This record gives sequence, structure tokens and C-alpha cells, in this order.
Amino acid sequence: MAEFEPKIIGFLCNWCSYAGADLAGTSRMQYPPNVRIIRLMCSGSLDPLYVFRALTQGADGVLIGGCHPGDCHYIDGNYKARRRIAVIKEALHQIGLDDDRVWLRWISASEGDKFARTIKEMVEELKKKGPNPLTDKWAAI
Amino acid sequence: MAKLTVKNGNISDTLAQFFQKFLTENIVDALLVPQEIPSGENVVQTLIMNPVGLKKINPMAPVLPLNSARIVSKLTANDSGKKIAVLLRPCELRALIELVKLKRAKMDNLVVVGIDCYGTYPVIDYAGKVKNAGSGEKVTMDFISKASKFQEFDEPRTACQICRFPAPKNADIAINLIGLDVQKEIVIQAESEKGRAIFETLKLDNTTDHNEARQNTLTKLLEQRVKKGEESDEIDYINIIASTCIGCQNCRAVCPVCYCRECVFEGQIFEYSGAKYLSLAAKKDILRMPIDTLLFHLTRLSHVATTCVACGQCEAACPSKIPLGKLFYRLSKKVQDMLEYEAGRSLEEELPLSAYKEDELKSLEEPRK
Repeated sequence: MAEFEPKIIGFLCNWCSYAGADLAGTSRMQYPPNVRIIRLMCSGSLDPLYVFRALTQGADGVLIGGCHPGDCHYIDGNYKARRRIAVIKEALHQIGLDDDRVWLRWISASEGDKFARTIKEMVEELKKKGPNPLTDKWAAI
Repeated sequence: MAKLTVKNGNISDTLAQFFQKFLTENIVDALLVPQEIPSGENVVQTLIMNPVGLKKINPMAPVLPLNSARIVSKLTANDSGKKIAVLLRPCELRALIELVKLKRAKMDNLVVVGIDCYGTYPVIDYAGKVKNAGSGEKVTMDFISKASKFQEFDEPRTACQICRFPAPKNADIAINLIGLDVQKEIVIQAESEKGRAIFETLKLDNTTDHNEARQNTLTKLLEQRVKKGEESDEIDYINIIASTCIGCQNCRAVCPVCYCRECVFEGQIFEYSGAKYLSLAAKKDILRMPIDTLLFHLTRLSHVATTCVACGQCEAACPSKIPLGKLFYRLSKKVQDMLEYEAGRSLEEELPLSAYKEDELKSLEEPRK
């Protein structure tokens, strides 16, 4: 029986986190291959539906990467993302889902190592939690 | 404040006399007031331009078939230029304030008359009780007497039993009911410049009275409701939704603050082709049809969390009686406390999702404790 490999969907902002992930790659940093990256122009353009769709369709974790507060390419997109993600996490928690599967991290373009570290940590934590409980509950989703 | 003497316990006539002056003295062009339907088994908002239409006002009846903020939005979104006096309960007024901020209603030409609210029965229960008791008045007075004695009874809607807003704020004129004997006299206070000007025109006493009896009763009522709201219950929402949600989307239809002209669920994103369904099914053992049952609820939660006034119409409209009232109450309280916002508190407060603080919500990056 193979070990459980969590599937992580990563929504990364174009200017910071995506570039940071790219830097991790070009620097040949080793990190687990569990993340599927989707590029957004800004973390502020994250629609809550993306996170909910990912979780209800079987993702074990969702990572949202944005520029550090104060450094958003579009000035304040990440501030709005922060509030929106607070609402998303609370909604997940109130309905009975584990909102610790949704991670918000500020990763800048120069932080290739932070990106690699974040993925490593996330995979470890998700392996401890186990697969998304919704995958068994086909009648709910 | 004005004290209107109630003759023969006939509250409806007393209020009708008060409101008809709004029309005869040209204070407003129209009234939106709750009146009993001829059979007495329901109380609905009515739009009146002629005092002869004031047949059986009963704003104290413990029934609320819908949150009137929607109606006021229909009347004012495209300004008719006419002045309208609207009689609203606290949850309706709070929802209206949110709709104004969402640019779905205007309050410029409104006179808002707020009224205290002890709570409401579900609509079919009210109709049944009136049928048995013979009159809406009997059911109303019986309810008020139970509620004013802080009796615990299960029949009011859950949302009402935990509502933290029994008294209206931000009204121009307020009808006081809690802690008072409404069969003897009805106390009405002006609470804004507009309200005071109207009292001048009607030659009513403009002094405000800090009524001890009412304040004490309000405090006790609030304590009772907050305690009830904090009662923990292990509701398994995911299971309940899986087993009873029929996807009718009534909850969305009746929500006063669900404000989008075209809901995302009616749009292109959710129009799947046959091929799409089949490709999803190919990846799974079983695909429940139609899909997106839980997704709908999660989306609604996140879309209204910051604006929800916890009026509970969602639960009232649900054919399966999913306990949405408590879910939205808890979510909206948590989210609004986190963002230091309260839906319906003030027209001046900016909508929290359009605003931000540079330093806040640090705990988002930590696991939940």
C-alpha cells in the first residue's frame, strides 16, 4: 500500500510567489513534487470559488502565495486577499471542514528557499492529517 | 416621546390613526406597513397611498414571511422621488442599511419607523395558531406575554431566539414595545432630526424618555438570547446537507443581502456540458448528480459572511429545514468580530471587504488553535 501523497493546488501571484517558485526551480532546490501551480496575476484576484472547488474536487491542501503586505504589485491586492481568505477559512471551519488545509503565505520573488520550505512543510503536515475527508463523501459534494 | 392611548385594547386602530396622519399631513406620499390579511392568518407588508387602506395594521404580530429590506430595495433602487414611510423590524432595518451600502437601495426619501421585536413563529405555525385561536390579535398578545416573561419556549424561529438586536437602531421614529404594556398605551419616540421634525408637524411631545422598564427588559432579553446563541451543538452540516439539501436555492432567493443581479450560480461558469460531466465522472467511482451541492453552500457562506444580519430567512425558506440560521449566525458573528465590523450598525461604516488595515489578521498564517 503506497504512502499517501497529498495533492496541493497552489495559487501563486505572478509577480512575487510565482517568480519565487521559479527561482527555486532554476536554483535546483529540491522540494516534494506534490504541488500543482496555478498562476494568478495577484493574490487579490483569488475568487473564493477557486479554493472551494479545489477542496470539493479532492485537493488535500490549497496554498495561496502572494507578495508581502506593502509590496503588492497592484498596491493593495494582497491586503484584500488577506481579508477574503480570512472569510474563506472561517466559512470552511463553521461548516465542519478543516481550514488548516488552506495556507496563506507571503513569498517574494527572491524567496526561492521559502517556497521550497513551504511546500516541504505543507506536505509533511498534510501527510499527518491524511487525505481530504470529502473524497469519501461523494454524496455531499 | 408620544404616548398613544389604546382604546379597548385595539392596537391596530391606534396605530392606524397615528399613521394616517403621515398621509393626511403630507409628511409622506406612501406608507409601507405590515397588515393582517383578511383571514388573519398572515401579516404582509402593504403599500398604502390612501388612509382608507389602513385596515388592520399589526406590526407586532410574531410572523415575518420575508425580510422587507428586499421590498424597500425594490421601491427605492430607482428613486421614484416620492417619500415613503416604512415600518421595519430591527433585522429588516439592518439589512436595509447593508443594501444601501451595496447600492441596492436608497434611504434619502424614506422615513424609517422601527419597532421592537420579541421574535416570530415560522409562517405555517402562525397561520395554524391564528386558525385555532380565532384572531391574529390573540396570538400576538399571547406571544408577547410569554416572551416578555422570558419564558423559554421552543416555538419561535431559532434565529429569533438568538437574535442580539431586539431594538431598532438608526430609525427616524421608534415604536417601543419591549417591557411595556401595549394594551394600555403605545410609546413612540423620535430618534433623529427627521423624526423630530415629523413630531413637530404632528404636534407630538419631542422629549425622549429613558424608560427604565424597557431598558431592564432589553438587557435581560439580550442576556437570554446571547446565552442561547452560545449553546454549543454538534451539528454535522456536511451530513445534513448530503442527506437533505435538494438544491432549490431558496436560501439564496430569500436572503435580503444576497445582492447580485445575476448570481454566479446562474451564470456561464456553472453551465456544464454533458462532456464535462462525463469527464468528471470518468475520474471518480461515483458522481452525485447534479454536482456542486456543498459548493453552493460554501460559496453562499463566503459571499454573505460580512453582510449577514442573521435574520434566519434562509432557514425559514429551506424545505428541508437545514439549520442554516445558527450556521450563518455563528459565521457572521465570527467574521464580523474579526474584521471589527457589524452589519447594519452604521451607514458610515465601510464594507469590510473593500477596506483593509496594513497590520491585521496575523493569525491567518498560523494553524487554528
